[in-house]
Amino acid sequence: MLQIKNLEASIEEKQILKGINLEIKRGEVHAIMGPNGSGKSTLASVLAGKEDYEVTNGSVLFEGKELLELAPEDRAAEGLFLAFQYPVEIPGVSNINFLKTAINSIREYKGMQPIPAKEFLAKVKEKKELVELQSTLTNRSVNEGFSGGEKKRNEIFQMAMLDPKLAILDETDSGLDIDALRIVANGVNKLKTKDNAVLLITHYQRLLDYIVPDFVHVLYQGRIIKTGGKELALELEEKGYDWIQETEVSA
Amino acid sequence: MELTQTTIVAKPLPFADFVSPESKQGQNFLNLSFPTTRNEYWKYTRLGKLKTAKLKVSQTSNITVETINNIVAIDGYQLVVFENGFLRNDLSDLTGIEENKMLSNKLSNEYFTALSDASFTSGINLKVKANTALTKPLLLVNSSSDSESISNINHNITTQQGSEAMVCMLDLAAADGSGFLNSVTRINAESSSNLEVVNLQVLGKATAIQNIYVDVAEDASFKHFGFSLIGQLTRNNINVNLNKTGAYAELNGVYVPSSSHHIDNHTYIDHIAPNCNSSELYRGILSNTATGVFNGKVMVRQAAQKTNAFQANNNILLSDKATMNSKPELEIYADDVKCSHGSTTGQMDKDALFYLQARGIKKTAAVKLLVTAFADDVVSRVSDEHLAELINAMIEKQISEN
Repeated sequence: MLQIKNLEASIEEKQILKGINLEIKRGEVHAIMGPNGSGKSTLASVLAGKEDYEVTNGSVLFEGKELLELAPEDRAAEGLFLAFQYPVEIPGVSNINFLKTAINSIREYKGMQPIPAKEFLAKVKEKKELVELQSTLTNRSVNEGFSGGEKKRNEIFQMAMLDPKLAILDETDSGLDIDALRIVANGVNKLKTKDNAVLLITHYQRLLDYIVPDFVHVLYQGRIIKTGGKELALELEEKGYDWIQETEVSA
Repeated sequence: MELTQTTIVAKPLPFADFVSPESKQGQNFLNLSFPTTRNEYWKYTRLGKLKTAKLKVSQTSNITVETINNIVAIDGYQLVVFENGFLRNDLSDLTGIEENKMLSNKLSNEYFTALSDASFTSGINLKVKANTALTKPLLLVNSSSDSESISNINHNITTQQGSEAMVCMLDLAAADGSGFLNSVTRINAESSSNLEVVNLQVLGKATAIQNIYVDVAEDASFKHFGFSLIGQLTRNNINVNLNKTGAYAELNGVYVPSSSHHIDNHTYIDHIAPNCNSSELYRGILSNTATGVFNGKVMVRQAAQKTNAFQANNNILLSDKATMNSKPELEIYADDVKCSHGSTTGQMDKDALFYLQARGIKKTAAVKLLVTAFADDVVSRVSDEHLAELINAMIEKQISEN
C-alpha cells in the first residue's frame, strides 16, 4: 500500500528526515516511536503534503501512485488520512458543513455524485457513536472550544466518516486521559479491516496497549534505526530511548 | 524700485457649478476647501480624479426593476428608486414617504455633505410613526447609471418613539459607469425605537461618498451594516451621537475590494450620555491590488459614565499587493467605562487551510470556506436571515471571481 524509499526532507534548510525506508501493507498496523525531535511529526506532515517541508530526496508510492506529486487534497481523496497532533480550530465553519464538503470533494475526485443528505446524516449518527461524540459538537464550529480530548475524538470521527485506506495518527494519544484514550483506541480498532492500514506515531508505549501494532519502528535523528514486533515497544518503555541511542552508537 | 503686480486667480472650487451661490447652504459650501490627503480625515483616500472629473446633472433613466431584482429580490420590500439623483416615480411606491425637496437647514463643514446640502436633487423623508412598524421593509436604491453624472442625494429618516423599521439601502452603479454618487442620510432614532439599516454597495467604477449622521435617543437602538462588494472608490462616513441614557449603536461592515478598488470606512461614535453601549465589527477581505481603510473613532464624554464600547477590525489580505490601513481611535474623558478595540490584518490562516485540504477539500474551495466563515461573523448579525443568506452568496461570488 505504502512504500517509502530513502525519503529526505528539510524545513528552512534544516534537514529533518535523513533517508526513511518503510513499507506498509494492507491490513497492517505500524507504530513509529522515537524521542522528541527525531522527525516523527515531520514524517506525518510530509506524507500529508504540508508545504512548509521540502522533500529533497526519495519517493513515496501510495497504491502505486507517486504521492509526493499530489496536492494534499488529492492525497486525501486517494485514501490517505492524517489525524493531527494539534487539530486546528476553524471558527465559523460547522463540523457538519466541513465534513459534507470534504466527503463530496472526495466523491467528486472519484467521479461520484454528492452524498445524498439522508445517507450522510445516517453516517454521521452511526460514526459519532463510535467515538462517543456528543451531538452538540457536530453542529459547532470545527474544533472551536473543544477540549483536548474532544478534538482528538473529532479526528477519529472524521477518519470514520472519510473511511481512508491509510490512517496516520500523529500523537493522537498525547493529552488524553485514560478514558479518552480508550474511547479513541476503541474507535480506531473498530475501523480496522483487512483492507486498510494504520500508522501510529507516538512517543509513549501506552497507546500500543490498546492498539496493538504488527511492527514497531524506532525513529532516531531522521532515520529508522530499529524495527521489531510489539515487544520492541515494551523494551523501549522499560529501557528508555537512551538504550537505543547506545545501541546505535555501539552498532 | 519697480513693483510687479501678480494676480492670483483662484481656481474654481470643484463642483461649485452645482450649488446655488445665493443660498446660505451654497455660501457655506463655497467657504470650504476640497479635501486632500494632507487632511488627516482624508489621509489614505485620494480624490484627485474626482476633483478634475467632468460631471453633469443627468436625468437619464436606465434602471429597470429587473436590474434591481438581479441583486436583491424586491418581493416583500417597499421599493423606492433614485437614479442619477432623481426619483424614479414609475418604479417607486411612496406610501408613507415624502420626496425630500427642501435643502437641509444644517450647515456642515464636511465638504461632500455641504455639497449635497447645497445642491441636492432629491431624497426621501421617512417618518415611522410612534409605536408602529413599517409594514414592509424599505428597499431604497441610490443608483448612478450615467457615467458622467453627479448624483446628490439627501435622505431623512426618523423613527418616532417606540417604532420599528428596517431599511435596505442598495447603492448601485453600472459596472462600467464612472459617475459620482454623493449621498447624505440623516437619521433620528427617537426614544425606544429600533432601526436597522443594511447597506449593499455594488458600485462598479463609480466614485461613491456617503455621509450618515445618526442621533440616537433614550433606549433607542440603531444598527447599521455596510457591505461593500464592488467599488472603484468608496468612502463611507458614519457619525453616531448617543444622546441619552440607554442609547445603543451597532456598526458592522464587510468590504471585499478586488482589482484596484479602494474602500474606506470612517466611523465616529460619540458617547454623550451615560449608560450607552456601542459595538463595531468591520471585516475586510482584500485581493489583487485593492486598498482598504478603516478608521474608527470612539469618543467618550465626561458625562458618559458606564459606557460600554467595543470595536474590532479584522482583515485578510489574499494578495501581497493588497493594502489595508486600519486605525482605531479612543478618546475617553469619563473614568467608569469599558472600552476595547482591536485591529488585525494578516494572510489566510495557513494551518486552517492545510487542515481543510488534508480532508480532501480543494484549495480554492478551502479558501472560499474560510473567507465566507470570516465574513459570516458579521453577516449573521443581520436580523433578516434571507437577506443574510443573499449577502453571504454575494460575498462568496465576489471572492470566487478574484
